[in-house]
Amino acid sequence: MVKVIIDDIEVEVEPGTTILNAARKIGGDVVPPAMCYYSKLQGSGGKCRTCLVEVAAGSAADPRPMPKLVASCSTPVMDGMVVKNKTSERVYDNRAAVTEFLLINHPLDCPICDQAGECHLQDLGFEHGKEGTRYEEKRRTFDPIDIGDKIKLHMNRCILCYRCVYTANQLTDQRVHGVMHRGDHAEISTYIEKAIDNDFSGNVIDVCPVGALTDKTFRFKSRVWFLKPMEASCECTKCAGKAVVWMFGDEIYRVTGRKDKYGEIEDIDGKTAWICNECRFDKKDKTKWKIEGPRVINRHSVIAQNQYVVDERLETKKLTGK
Amino acid sequence: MPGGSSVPILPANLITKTAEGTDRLMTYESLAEGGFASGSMLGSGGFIVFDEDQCIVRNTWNFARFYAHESCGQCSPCREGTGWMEKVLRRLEHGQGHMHDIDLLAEINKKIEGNTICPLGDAAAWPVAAAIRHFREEFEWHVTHPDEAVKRNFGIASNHMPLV
Repeated sequence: MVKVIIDDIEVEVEPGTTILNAARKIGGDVVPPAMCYYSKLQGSGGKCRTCLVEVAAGSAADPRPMPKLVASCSTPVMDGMVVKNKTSERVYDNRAAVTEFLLINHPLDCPICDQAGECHLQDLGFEHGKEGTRYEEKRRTFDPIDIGDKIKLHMNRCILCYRCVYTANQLTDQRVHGVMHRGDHAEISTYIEKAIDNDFSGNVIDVCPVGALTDKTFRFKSRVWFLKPMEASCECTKCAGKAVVWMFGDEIYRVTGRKDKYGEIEDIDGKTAWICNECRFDKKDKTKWKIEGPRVINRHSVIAQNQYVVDERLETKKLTGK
Repeated sequence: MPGGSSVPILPANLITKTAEGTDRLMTYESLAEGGFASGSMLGSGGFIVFDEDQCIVRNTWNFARFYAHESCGQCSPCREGTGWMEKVLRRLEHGQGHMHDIDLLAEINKKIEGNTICPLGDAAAWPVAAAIRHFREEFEWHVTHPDEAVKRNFGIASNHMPLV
């Protein structure tokens, strides 16, 4: 076990753990935001740069600070490492800059976007974004395309976190989903549009941090905060059948996987509870599900309260003037 | 410009002598003297020399365009930042820029530098930062004389820095 100090809190973790996962072990506001890292997907992370942290001391053996900010999702901890996240002004500045970079080509169509209310970029923009934009040029635009008959891809909203690419790679047997072109022309695409017919392709909707990939059976039906999330299970031959159904009255509006507070699909009985396309898109009948009870939603979530709550870290930032 | 296109550009007086007045040698150590304020890097060892009539804004735009094209698009500061810089520089070069664009450029490249996965972000940011640091007058001339800027070059000969 190695000892690492994050924001003056000491934590013991296994060697080889990343800084982000060590911070998640502490929990609370020490955890840096992550737009692209997804602990259930191999190789994800390092791309969005929102989880940048300052390393004030590299390790007990070599206590020099690291000159650059490092991506906490892909940097393993060392014994005696001292990490600054919320206590570092430099981290705040650069995270605000990364937020601005992510937003310059992101359309501000939250009022008509299905992801609004559970969008990670919305949360990030609320915490670190600026009021205005300094970008005067035209935003890059794409036409929305269909990926299969149940998934819609709005490339305009995409922040290129590559999560769906890893999902399509690791959950399904054929690689039919990837990134084409490069630089700011890069786009998520399918090589052959009709090739998306495997049973777990719907999970790309769950991993998408923004509204780029949305469920066509739920599009424009309701805002997420008007729905009641309920834990439910069903007998399914393809997947574990553990899901969250989003209900309005007695009707099921949509079905998603069970996500934890970091927006990642939970592990149930040691296995990640990805759900299959049949459960997600076709079982909208209440009789097919066994409702287990209400889903616990983070108190600060807009889904719980219909409004955003000011984060404690911003309050402390205002008080200390940092 | 010592070291290819990815290092800070220097005016003639700083390339032959350091800020302290000692002779600059073509070595890694000597070129790095003075840090980024008055020094540069040897990089690949390739030199680019501009004569006094070249347009610095146009050349900086050319580099920015190259890096925007070469950016792989994985990490967000580089993907969005290089494209943004290229667009702002294109505006400045074509006489459609504003005074605040120059500060915006300086701000953007400060935020790309060091925040990317690979050094391409740094390489894209340094020449732009240095061009503004040493040739800010020329950028301002592009804003204040938009009509002339599309017809002729500023001409480094009128630069206040004496050639040695």
